[in-house]
Amino acid sequence: MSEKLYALLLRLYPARFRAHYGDEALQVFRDRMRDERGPGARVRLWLDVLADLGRSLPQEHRRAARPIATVPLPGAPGIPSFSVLEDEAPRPATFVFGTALALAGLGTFAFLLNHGGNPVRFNVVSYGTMRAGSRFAGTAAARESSLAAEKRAAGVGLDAAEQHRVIQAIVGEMTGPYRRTPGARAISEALETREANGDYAQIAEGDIFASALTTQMHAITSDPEVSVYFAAGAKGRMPRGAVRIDEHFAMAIQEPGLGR
Amino acid sequence: MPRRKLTPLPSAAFQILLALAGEDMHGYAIMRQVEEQTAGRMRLGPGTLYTSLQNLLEEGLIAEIDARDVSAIHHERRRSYRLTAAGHKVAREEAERMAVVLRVARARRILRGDYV
Repeated sequence: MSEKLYALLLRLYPARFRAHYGDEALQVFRDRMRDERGPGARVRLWLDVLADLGRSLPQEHRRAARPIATVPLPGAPGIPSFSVLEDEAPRPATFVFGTALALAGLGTFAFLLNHGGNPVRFNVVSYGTMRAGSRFAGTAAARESSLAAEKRAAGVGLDAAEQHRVIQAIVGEMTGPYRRTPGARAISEALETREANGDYAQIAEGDIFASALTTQMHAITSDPEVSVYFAAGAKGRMPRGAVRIDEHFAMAIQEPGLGR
Repeated sequence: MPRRKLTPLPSAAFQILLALAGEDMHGYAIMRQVEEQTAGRMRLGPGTLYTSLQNLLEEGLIAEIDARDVSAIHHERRRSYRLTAAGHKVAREEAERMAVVLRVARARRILRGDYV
């Protein structure tokens, strides 16, 4: 009876929340019902549930009301960004600081371009004692190569280039018949924006990268099937129905026309 | 710097990050751990729990992993959650911020020695 009542209360949440977390929220409620027995505990449980509804319902409805794409349509009237600033005239120090910041940003950008987007490495090997061709140099190079291969196999060595390949492959999947699916275009824009902002720069593990991409896509689309999978090793097994989009990554999407 | 959605970090989100600092957990285990580590002062309901988890996922502070709960009778599939490096950093910064507040409160004799 209590479980049925809570299932009814769950209907107050937006559809996207119910689709993603409805079953687990019900399972959590079931677990609490199992663990908290006695009239006092049950009263406390229901008071918690009511307080919980009061706190979380407004948040979830605000999230559901959020626009999917934040890019304004061409020609559409928008709110000027500067309307959020104070009407006070900027001080001279602001211009100095802004110029310094822009120069630093441009310098960093030029530096990164010069290094082809790869992380800068500082070689700590002393060339005076380790010449090219010496047996030590050969051993060190072989060890480094072996370590790099092991790291890549474990997904630890996930680099910006592979992240870029995966995101571009996902963007490619968003075209074709799937482009008619609600949110397909917004997914491409959101992932490319996050990549450009460097949001994935700290992620070095393949499984965490796949999980982050999946979560971000779920926040946009109503397709419950859309997922990115990671498998260590070039021949790692992927779930059935998933399309391999990279050496270590695969992707699943709902067949167009089967959407809810 | 763009303002993050979780700035300031809500207490429920902070407690979830602390819970996940120990090990990967599914939703109910997180709820129990938060209740334990706050000595029963914070009991997360399912709505608050999954709303907070969704916010943390969107900010990249935790990651979702699939796990099969072998302790359950029906062996149902439950999502588990793992703290990311970014989540660990945010939790540490929040703890440091609270440590500063605690030091000030002690210096002003608002708190006595019974608080560690």
